Amino acid sequence: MNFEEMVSKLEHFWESEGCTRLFPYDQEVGAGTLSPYTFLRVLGRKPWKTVYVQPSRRPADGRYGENPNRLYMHHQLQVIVKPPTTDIQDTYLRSFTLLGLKPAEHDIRFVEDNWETPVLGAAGVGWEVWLDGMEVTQFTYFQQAGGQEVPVVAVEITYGLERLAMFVQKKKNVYELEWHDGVTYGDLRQQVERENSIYSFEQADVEALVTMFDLCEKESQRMIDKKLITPAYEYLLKCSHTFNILDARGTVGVSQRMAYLARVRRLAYGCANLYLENENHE
Amino acid sequence: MSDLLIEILTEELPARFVDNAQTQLVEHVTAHLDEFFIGHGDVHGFSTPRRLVVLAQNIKEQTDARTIEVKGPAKASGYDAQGNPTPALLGFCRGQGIDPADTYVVDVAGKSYVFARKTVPEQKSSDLIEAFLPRLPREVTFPKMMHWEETGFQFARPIRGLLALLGTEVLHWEVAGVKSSNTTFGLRVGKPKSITVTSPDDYMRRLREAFVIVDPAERRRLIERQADKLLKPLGFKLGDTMGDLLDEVVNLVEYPSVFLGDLPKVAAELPESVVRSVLQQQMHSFLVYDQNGNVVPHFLSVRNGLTDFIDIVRRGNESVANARLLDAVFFIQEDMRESLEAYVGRLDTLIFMDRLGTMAAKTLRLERLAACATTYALVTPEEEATLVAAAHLSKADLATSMVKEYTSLQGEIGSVYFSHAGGSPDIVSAIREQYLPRSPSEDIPATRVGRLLGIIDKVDTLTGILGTGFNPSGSEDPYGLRRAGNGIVRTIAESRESIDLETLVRKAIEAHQATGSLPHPENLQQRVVDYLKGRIAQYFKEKQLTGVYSALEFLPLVELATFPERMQALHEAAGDVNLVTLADSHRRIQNITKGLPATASLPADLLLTDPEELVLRQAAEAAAPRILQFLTVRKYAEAICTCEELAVPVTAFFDRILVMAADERVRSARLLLLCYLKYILGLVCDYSKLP
Repeated sequence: MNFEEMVSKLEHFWESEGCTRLFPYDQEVGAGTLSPYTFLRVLGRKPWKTVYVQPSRRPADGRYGENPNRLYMHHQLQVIVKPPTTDIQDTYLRSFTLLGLKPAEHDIRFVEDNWETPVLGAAGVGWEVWLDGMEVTQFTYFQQAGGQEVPVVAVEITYGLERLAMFVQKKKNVYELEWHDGVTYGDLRQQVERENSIYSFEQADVEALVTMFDLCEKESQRMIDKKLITPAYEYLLKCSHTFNILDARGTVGVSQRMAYLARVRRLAYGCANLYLENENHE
Repeated sequence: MSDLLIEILTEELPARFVDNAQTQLVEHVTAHLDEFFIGHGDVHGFSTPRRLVVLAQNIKEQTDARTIEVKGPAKASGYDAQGNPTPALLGFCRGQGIDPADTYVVDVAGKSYVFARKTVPEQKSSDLIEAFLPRLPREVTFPKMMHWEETGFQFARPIRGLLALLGTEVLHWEVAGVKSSNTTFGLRVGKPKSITVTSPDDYMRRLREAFVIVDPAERRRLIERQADKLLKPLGFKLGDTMGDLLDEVVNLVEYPSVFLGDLPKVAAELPESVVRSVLQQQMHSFLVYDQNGNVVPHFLSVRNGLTDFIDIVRRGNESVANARLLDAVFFIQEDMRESLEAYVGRLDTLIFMDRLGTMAAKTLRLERLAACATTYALVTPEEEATLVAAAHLSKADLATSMVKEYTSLQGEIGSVYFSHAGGSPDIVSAIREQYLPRSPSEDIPATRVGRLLGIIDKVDTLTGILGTGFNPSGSEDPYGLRRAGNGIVRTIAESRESIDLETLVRKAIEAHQATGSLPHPENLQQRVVDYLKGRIAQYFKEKQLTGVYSALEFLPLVELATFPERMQALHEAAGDVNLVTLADSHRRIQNITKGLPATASLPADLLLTDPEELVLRQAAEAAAPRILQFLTVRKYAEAICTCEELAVPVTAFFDRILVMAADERVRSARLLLLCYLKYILGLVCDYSKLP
């Protein structure tokens, strides 16, 4: 089963479970959680069910396209079910059978792993899911977002698509994955990985990025003041990605790092509060 | 009589929570049964990653009728001036269903109260149990809790089923939107099928058929037996320190099937400690050894489920092991592009502790403390130089990719890299040993420099954290203070090497003040010393030596290294008649000289004239230098023996001499003699405190 087929099977599975299927958010994010489809929608009381693929960039994890397991950008399949159904774990396990994986033939484990994203003031409790020892999914019950306890818990199921595909296709190197019949992951991604690694580790213009961060932060804050959630949040995402490059570049000291994270967090809280204010007005 | 079975079915509980939750649940069920006077037999607890189970045997169908005494209002408010019951008393009687004429008055702590006896009739146990069941899950606490449904109920993981059977009767129970029933679920394989349980006896049998072993002890035995069966014929065995991992694995599976995997070739390129960490921490798998203790190219792992298709599981795990170890090789190669020294320069990007600065600052403090080691430890100048060099490199590996990825390899990685670069073996072992002992079962550092580095690191941490104003009370230990304290105490007590902790703490406070700020320096020296004394008391309490420790606890911290030998000597002297006499005399001396300082010498012209006084003075002055000599060479049995020689003259003194003589000069001379004895005896221990 090639990569695109696997993704579409999973998407359709969750669609049939009542999730709205969305396209990836069109901005750089570090994880599917940062997409407004997750971060904003898990706030407040409104029910929400969605499934979407999210390419996720982690500049510091880049390995110049040379490491068989680590990537500057990987793909997540993000599922949000809010409020969670009581059989959500069983539903999730059923999704494996679509990939030709019979649970009775494997060892599937839910191993404690609690997750937090300090820049969003978000935290959850849950597991990483092991498939014969390989971590293929992060399964989390949101407990906090935007620095507040969530009034209605959402489940976030994040499939690591490369890991899962390597398992399904029995490949030891991510670049050997079949994306489309006859087209490998390497054909599509290896050069990109190399270039982006060179950029974020060696070439990124620190001074320019620092200025960009300041500008985006200002613009985000200005939009928060105008109560325009979407542009405010989109500029927050730009801040977050800019910071991630700076961080990979290795020029951010400890106290500086904390200060940057605090600045992004302040914007996240601002957006979250606006979103909740809006929901309360409705 | 019938058995009570309770099961809380959950989503997968963290393995580290399971044992404790099971214990708590048993305690609460037992307490509730007793609280409601429900007759019962043994109460057993069981658990798996997905269920907490209690089996209470031989529950009586109903409680016995019993008479209880209830306390009413005070007599003064129960009766008016005419002796008639007031509305308050009448209300009390109505509430309790008793006749006011049947009340009586009893004095409680000098005040009179109205009391009444009343009969509580038999009650059905099932009613009483149903009344306490809802309290149970709420009473079980976990280090980390979560909420998942609309009532906001808190538990470690979502509750998905409740089962409560008294004999064949299903008891009503509802928690967090879940209602009790007589059904449960087996191991997750394929479609979940519900299992109906007809009785507590039936439960274990039905679950076993559904591939769940509810008794953790049985799962452990199964794992051990299966591992034996696989390893013995090959002449292999598991390592000696696998206990903690086994504890964890027992609570990761409902139905264990052990398998032996091949260790990928790349493992041979990595240090054993790295391979072990990757396998244990990231895969919950065990390294395998031959009879000589050498690692063999296999690993042992436990599947949650049957042996069917186990080859698929094995191959999956082998390929994960390969990927993880390759990752480690990659990190190590990356790391080794630079010297360990280069990583020291990056420690300013790592926070040691909030408000206590960076690891770079910590390194500076450790170097500073190492450079004055002669002021608190008996070290040669060469050892001190090694200690300074080791302190400089000690935290460098925290900045490496490898330790960022595998934090438990701190120390280990630094030593591997430094050794690879041809570093001095003394420094290599000190870097590795600084974190020892990480657990009560682990040995203390084997080298002197390693022990010293470990101690100064831990004292720095302790001093810093207490200096942030943190109050280490309660059962939580968020900063690992207890472990640091225990490490210091064990290292000194077991190596028997004297370290003047009081001086070291003072130097550590100075170092903190030099590299940054201490938010709460007030009274810090005393707080750190008190904390350490608490850990020392705990250390000897765990060894069941509290009694003899109380005879030593007044000694300064620098004597800690001598405590085990002093205790041994006291233990050997325990039967001596003179020791008993001496204990008694020491107490009398302390009482009579209360408030007066111990004195280390007597003036030549002391006004002593009676023979008992003179004999005692002579004996004491003869004993003192010998005792001091024995103490310097740590011959405590001999020192105690010498003290015992004073038992007879002291007793004679107390028998014949009136210390509080009318003549002030005579009195003060006698008191001074006793202050001298107080000094001599106190050199060894406080005999009066001996058990």
